[in-house]
Amino acid sequence: MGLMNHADGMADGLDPMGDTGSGGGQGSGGGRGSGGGPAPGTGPASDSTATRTASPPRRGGGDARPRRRPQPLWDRAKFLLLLGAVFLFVVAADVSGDPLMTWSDALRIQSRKSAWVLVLLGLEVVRQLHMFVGERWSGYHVFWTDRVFGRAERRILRLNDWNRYRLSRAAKWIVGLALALFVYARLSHTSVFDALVQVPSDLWRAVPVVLQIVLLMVLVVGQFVVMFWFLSKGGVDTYFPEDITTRFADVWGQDHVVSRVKENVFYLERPEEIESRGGYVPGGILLWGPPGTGKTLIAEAVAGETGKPFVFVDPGAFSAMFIGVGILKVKSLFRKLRKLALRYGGVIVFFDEADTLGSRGALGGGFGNGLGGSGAGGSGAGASGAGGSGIGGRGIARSGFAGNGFAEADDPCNGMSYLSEAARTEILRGQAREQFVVGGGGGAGFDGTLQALLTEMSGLKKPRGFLNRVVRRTLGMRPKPPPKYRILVMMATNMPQSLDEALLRPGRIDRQYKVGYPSKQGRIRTFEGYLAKVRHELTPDQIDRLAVMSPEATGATIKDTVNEALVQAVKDDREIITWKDMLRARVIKEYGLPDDHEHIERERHSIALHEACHAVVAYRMQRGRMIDLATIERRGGVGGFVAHVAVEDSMFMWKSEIEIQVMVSLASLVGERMFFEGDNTVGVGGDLRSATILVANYMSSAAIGETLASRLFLLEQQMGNLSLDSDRPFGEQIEAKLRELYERTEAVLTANRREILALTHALETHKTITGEDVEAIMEGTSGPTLDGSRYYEPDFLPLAERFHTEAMRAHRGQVRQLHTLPDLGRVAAREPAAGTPPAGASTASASSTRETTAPSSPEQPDD
Amino acid sequence: MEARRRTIRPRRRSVPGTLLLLSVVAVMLLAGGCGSPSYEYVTNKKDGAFLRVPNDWNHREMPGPALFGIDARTVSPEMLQGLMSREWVVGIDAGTRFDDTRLLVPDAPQPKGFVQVRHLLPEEANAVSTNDLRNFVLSVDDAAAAQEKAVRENPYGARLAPNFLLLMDETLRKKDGVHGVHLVYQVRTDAGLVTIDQTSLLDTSQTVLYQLILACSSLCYAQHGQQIGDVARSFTIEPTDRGQ
Repeated sequence: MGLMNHADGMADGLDPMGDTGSGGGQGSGGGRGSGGGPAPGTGPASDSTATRTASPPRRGGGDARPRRRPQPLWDRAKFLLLLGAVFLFVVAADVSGDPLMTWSDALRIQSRKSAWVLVLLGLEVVRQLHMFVGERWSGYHVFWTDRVFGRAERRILRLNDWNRYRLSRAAKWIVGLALALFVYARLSHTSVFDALVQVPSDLWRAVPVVLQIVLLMVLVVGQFVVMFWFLSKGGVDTYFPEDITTRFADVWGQDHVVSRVKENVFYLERPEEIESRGGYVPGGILLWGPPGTGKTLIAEAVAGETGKPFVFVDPGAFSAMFIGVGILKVKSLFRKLRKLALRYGGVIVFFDEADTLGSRGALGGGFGNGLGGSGAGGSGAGASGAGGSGIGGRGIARSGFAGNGFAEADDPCNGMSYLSEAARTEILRGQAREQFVVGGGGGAGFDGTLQALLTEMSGLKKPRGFLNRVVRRTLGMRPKPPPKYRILVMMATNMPQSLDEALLRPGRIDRQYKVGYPSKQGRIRTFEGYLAKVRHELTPDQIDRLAVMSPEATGATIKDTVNEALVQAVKDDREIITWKDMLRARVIKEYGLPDDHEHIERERHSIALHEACHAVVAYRMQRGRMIDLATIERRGGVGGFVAHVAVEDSMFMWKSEIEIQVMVSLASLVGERMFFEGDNTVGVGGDLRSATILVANYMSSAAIGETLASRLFLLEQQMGNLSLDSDRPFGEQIEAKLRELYERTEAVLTANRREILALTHALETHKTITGEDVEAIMEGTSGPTLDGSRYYEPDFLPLAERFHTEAMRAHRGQVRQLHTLPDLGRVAAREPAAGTPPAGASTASASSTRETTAPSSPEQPDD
Repeated sequence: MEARRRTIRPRRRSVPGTLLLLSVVAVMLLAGGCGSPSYEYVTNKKDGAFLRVPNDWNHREMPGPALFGIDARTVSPEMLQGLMSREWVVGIDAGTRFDDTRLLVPDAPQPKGFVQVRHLLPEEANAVSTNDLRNFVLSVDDAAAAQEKAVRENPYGARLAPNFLLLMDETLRKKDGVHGVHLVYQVRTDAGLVTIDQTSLLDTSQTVLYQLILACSSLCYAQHGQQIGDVARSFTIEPTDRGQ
C-alpha cells in the first residue's frame, strides 16, 4: 500500500515510455489494493472519483489511485526550451545581417523551412500535456500505462528474447537509415522521396571518392600493418627431419631423459596409441638443468629423429621494441604451428632458454616448491660443475650466490672445496638465509607476451578458416569444430625457477625432466667420443678414472677439457695426448690458471702446512670422496686449496660424515696450532665459519648434538625463545661440539705428522699436486708425478722436522729467511696402469738427487 | 517525510504558471508562423546584396554565366570556374512559373529580370567608371543620341514612335561608398516596346558590381511599374570584405 500512496511522494515512479512494464504491474496492483481487485479494464470506471479527489493532492494515506509522479519543472521545460531556442535561433539567423528582413517574415519563412522543429515542439507540448494530465487524473494514467503501453508491452513480451532483439535491431536500422535519408535530403535540397530515388546513383557517383578515401586509409593503416608484420617475423626457424643429422644416439649419458623424451615423441607420432584409450598426447616438456648438460642437444635429437617439423624459437624472439609486437609474434608463431600441425599431423616447437619468457612476478618462482629448494641445490651443483672457469671452492661460492661477498671476506684459504656437496649446500643455504635472496624471475611478461603464450598453449581454439567461420555462420550453419592440433612444446632452461607457474601447469608443460650431470657411463662415453677424434694414449682405466674424477662434467666441459689437453700436447710439440696432458688440462679447466705470484718463504710453509692438514684429515677420514687437487698457488684471493670430488652420488649425509666434514674444516686450525706452538693465522677464519655453520645447522635440525628438538623449525616459526637455551645455551653446545671435534682432529693429525710434513714438502716443492700424488704420498707409493715412497725413507722425517724448526725460528723472528727447501728429488711420471710401487732404481735416483741437493743446515743462523 | 513534502510543494505550484507561459509562447509562435510572408527575400549575405520582391514572384539562383550568352564551350574550364566563382546571379520572374530561359525576352507579359553580383577582373575594375554603368545592358548614350538625331530628322514621327525613351536617369550614392546609376528606359524591339529598369552599383573600391535588371513590355510596365519600383528601391548593398 505504501508503494501506491501518492501523498508519500514515493509511489508512482512511472515513466510513460520506459517503465510501462512496471507501470502496468503497479497499475493492476493499485487496482487490487484500492478497490478489492478491479481488473485493469475497470480502471477508467473509478477514474471519475480519482479525478475529483486528486485535483487537490491529498496528504493523507488513503489515496491508493496511481498517478504519475510529478515531474520537476526543469524536466518539463527542458525540451521545450531547447526546441524553442533552436527555432528562435534560426529565425534570428535569418533576420541577422539582412536589412530588409522583418521578424514576422523571418518567423513565417522559418516556420516553413524549419517546420520539423515546430513539429517536435508540438509533440513535446502534447507529451507534456499527457504527463500533466496523468499526474492529476488517475484514470487517464492507468488507461495509458495499463491499457495502451501495458498491452503493447505484454504483446512484445510474448515474443521470445531472440526475436525481440532481432526486431529491435531491425527497427534501429530502419530508423537510422530514415534519419540518414532525411539528412541527405536536406543537404541535397530535395524531398525525402527524391533523395531515396537518387541514393543509388549518388552512391555510384561517389564510388571514386570513396575508393580514394579507402585507398588513403589503406595506405595509412597498411604501413602500420606492414611494419608490424615485419616486426612480428624472425626468431623462428623451421627444420624438417632431413635438415638435422643429430640422433638420440648422439646424446651421451642422459639415457633416462632421452627415454622419457622418446615416449613423448612416440605419442606425438602415434597419437592413436593413447587417444584410443581415452588419454591425450602430452603437450609439453620442460628440460631443465645446469648449463651444458645437453638440453639443446636432446631437442636437436628430437628434431632429427622425429618425422615431424621442428620449430626452433630463439631465446630473444619475443623481445621487441614496441609493446604488442611480442604478442603478435606469439600469435604468428602459433598460427604457423597450427598450419604445420595440420599439414604434417604434428609439430614440435622448442623454446631454448625459456627463462627469457619471464614470469609475472608474484606467480613466478613456483618451480620446485615441493622439492625443498631444489633450485638452490641445482645452482650450487651447476656452479661446481662449472668449476673450470672459477677458482676451486671459491668458484662455487661465487657462482652459487653471486656477489654476496661471503667467500671473499671469510674464506681466504680453502673455500669449501674439501666439503661434500651436501655440506656445501647446507652452508650456502645458511648463507642464503642471512641474505635477502630474491627468488624467481625475469622481468619479461609484462607486455602480454607471456600471457599470449599461455593462452595459445591452452586457450580456446576457434573454428578454422574464413569460409567455415563466417560463411557457414551467415548461412545459419554451425561452423565445423576446430581440428585437433598436435603441438609438442619443448622448453629448455637452466633457470626453471624463473618460469611462470602457470606455464608449468599440466596441460601446458605436462612433463618436467631434469637434465642433470651425465652418469659415469655417460661421462666415459663422452670422454671416449671426444678422445676418439684426437690421437691419445689414454687407457680405458685412465678414462674411467677421468670420469670418476669429473662427477659434474658435462658434454661441453669434457669437450673443452679434451681440447685443452690437446693444446697442452701441442705446446710440448707432441701430437699425442698423454695422461699428464689430461691432468694439466683438468686443473686448468676446473680451477683456472694460477696467478703469477710467489709466496714469501715463511708464508709458503705455513700455507702448505695448512693445506696439508686439510688433505691429511680428508684423506684419512672421508669416505666416498677423493682428493682431486692440492695447491698452494694463489688464484685471486685464494692462497691455496684442497679440492675434492665425489666418487659416489649419495643422497643423504650421516652424522659421522658431517662430523668428518667439520673435522676437515678444523684441520687447518688444529694443524697450525700444533706446528706453530699454539699460534694460528687468520686464514682459518673461513674454515671455522664453515665448521660453525655445519655444526649449528645440523645440531639445530639433524640432532648431531645433545638435543633432539629442531631449533631450525623453532626459529622458522619465530619460537626461538622457546629453545633449549635454559638448560644450556645453544652457543655453548656448538662450542662443545666443535671442541670435541677439534680434539678428534688433533688426534688424527698427531698420528699423521709424517704425512703432514710430507705433503707440506710436496706442496712447497711442486706448488700443485694431483689427488693421485697425494694418495701416493699418503700411501708411500708412486704417483703420476711424484714418488711417495721417498717420504717414507728414514732420513725424510728428521730433514723435514729440521726445516720446520727453522721455519718456526723464522716465524718467531729469530732468522730473517729460510734456507733452501730440501729437495727430495723427483721421479718421472709413471704409468699408473703399471700400478707398481716405486722401483728401487727410481728411489735410488731420487736418493741420489736428494744427496746432491739437500745440504740444508738448520743450524746455520741467518743472523 | 514532512520536510520532503515541503520541498516538493513549491515546485508543483509553479507548474501551471510555467506551463501556461510556455503554451502562450507556443501559440504565439504558431500564430506568427501561420500565413505567408509579405515578401520573398533574395539574399546574398556573403557579398552583402539584399533584395525584396513581392511574395508571388519567383526567384532562383542561376548556375553560372550562361545567362549572359557566354557559351561555356568557348571558354576554358578554368575560366568558366573562375567566372562562376566570381558571379552570383539570381533570376527573378513574376510569372506563375519560373522560366530561366525567358528571363530577358522583350515581350514578357510579367516582370522578369535578374540580380547579379560580380567581382570584376582587375582590368575591368581599372577601366570601369560610373558612366559605363549606364551602358551595361544597352548603350544608353548611343541610343539617346540616335533618338535625338531621329527627332532632328523627323521631329514628329520620331517623337510619336520613339525607338528609345529615357524615363529615369538618376545617380545613386548610398552608404559605405556604394554608388551607381538607376535608369528606366523604353526600347523599341521587334516584339514591341520594352521597359527596362536597370540599377547598377559599384562598391567604393569599384571592384564589385551589383546589378538589378528588371524588364517587361511597356504595357506590363504600366501595370506593374509600382511593384518594379518597389523592388528596385529595396535593392540594398552592404559591402563586405569577404568578397574576392
